[in-house]
Amino acid sequence: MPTKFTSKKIFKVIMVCLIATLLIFWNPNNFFGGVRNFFIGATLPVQKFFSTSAEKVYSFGEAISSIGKIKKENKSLIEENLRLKAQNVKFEDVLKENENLRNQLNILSRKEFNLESARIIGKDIYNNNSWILIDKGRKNGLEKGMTVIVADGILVGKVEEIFDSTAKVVFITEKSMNINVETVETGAVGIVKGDYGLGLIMDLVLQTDVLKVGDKIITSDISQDIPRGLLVGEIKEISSAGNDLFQRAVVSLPVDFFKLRFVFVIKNANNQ
Amino acid sequence: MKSFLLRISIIFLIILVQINFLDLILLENNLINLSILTLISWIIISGFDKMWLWIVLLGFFNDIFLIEKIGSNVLFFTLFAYLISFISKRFMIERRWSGFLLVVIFILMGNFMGSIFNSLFFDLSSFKEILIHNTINYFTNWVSLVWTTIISAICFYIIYTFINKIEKYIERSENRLKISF
Repeated sequence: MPTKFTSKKIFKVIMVCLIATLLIFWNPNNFFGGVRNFFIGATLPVQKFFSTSAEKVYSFGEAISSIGKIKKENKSLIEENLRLKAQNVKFEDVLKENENLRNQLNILSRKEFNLESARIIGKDIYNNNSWILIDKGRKNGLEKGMTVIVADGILVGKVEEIFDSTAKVVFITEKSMNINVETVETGAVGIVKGDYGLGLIMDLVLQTDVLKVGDKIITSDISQDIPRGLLVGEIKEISSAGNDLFQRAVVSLPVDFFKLRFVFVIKNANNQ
Repeated sequence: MKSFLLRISIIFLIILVQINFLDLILLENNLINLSILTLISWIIISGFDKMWLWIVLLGFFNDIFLIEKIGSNVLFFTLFAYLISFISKRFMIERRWSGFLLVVIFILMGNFMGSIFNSLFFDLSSFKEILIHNTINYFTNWVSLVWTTIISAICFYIIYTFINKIEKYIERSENRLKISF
């Protein structure tokens, strides 16, 4: 007896694909936002349990792998500590000068940021849109678009999706990210773009501007939502021909985003 | 009801372990997708006809927890499951070595296809660039590729054994229920 087409495997596949394609292009975020919020909220204790376990496993693995290095590392840390003590004295003076200049230029001091610390409880390294899930959300006063940093004002990313108790943070290395930046040493301005989750590219730098390898890149005050002066990275390589309209540079990141455990969300980004 | 609860628990467990545990301890280049390993296990153990609805649910919850466009993983998982079912019927998956080789190919295929499939809906304008970039990144980094395959194979063995036991338990329970009726 011939089987009905509706009970055939291919019919099921076609039907599912049609509905899925419809959902992708229709993208009913308002409806599924609630569903997503419910499931993420309901499984939050389990997510926290797994992330804490992962942290312990990771720390244990790191401790095991670093046993041989500890003695060598200790010696270099003592040397570095002495060097930093000397440097610290010098920086204290620079800090005072910096505060005065910030006041004169009406720029918000870094310590005046209203920061919300958050623990990373989830990560997606599989797709091109790498992101992290943090354990703070709408209930903690977080909003979509807020800037995310790590210690000493290193820019990490932005809050892309917000839920009641969690938030999705997209790294600056994402292709969708465009950040207005400038170099510290030469003041060259441009835009930093993500390089498919792997690194950063500084683009749209005028040929008249000077780019130097090793120059630090910070956020400029053109962006309304990202505070000025956050460290983005360092110029690693300059790649532009003389006849190009703009200069381009490969930017190295100051921290390994994949090793982060805690981040800070800036609640008062508008420094104007 | 028991089978529903068990299978839905598997889906949640796999996704949460992936996002909240595995991705936090693994390095960036090791692309191990537990959902794809679960999908392969379900198709090999129970077949497409029996598991297709669960694969749709697996895709749906992946979209929910991975905060992606609803439907993208449903589409990919359904097509991939159909492809596996199609290939495994034509090749000798029950033979030890050819079966093992086929599973490794499925894992590699799933990892690679999964990594580029989402970008199709994420950023259609730069899909070509992403495809070239991911292909180069995936196939030129041999050390990472070998490690990914080894770890994926180990994870697959664990998941396969776990799911096989659960599916057998569900089958036994259903048979017992039929007899009692």
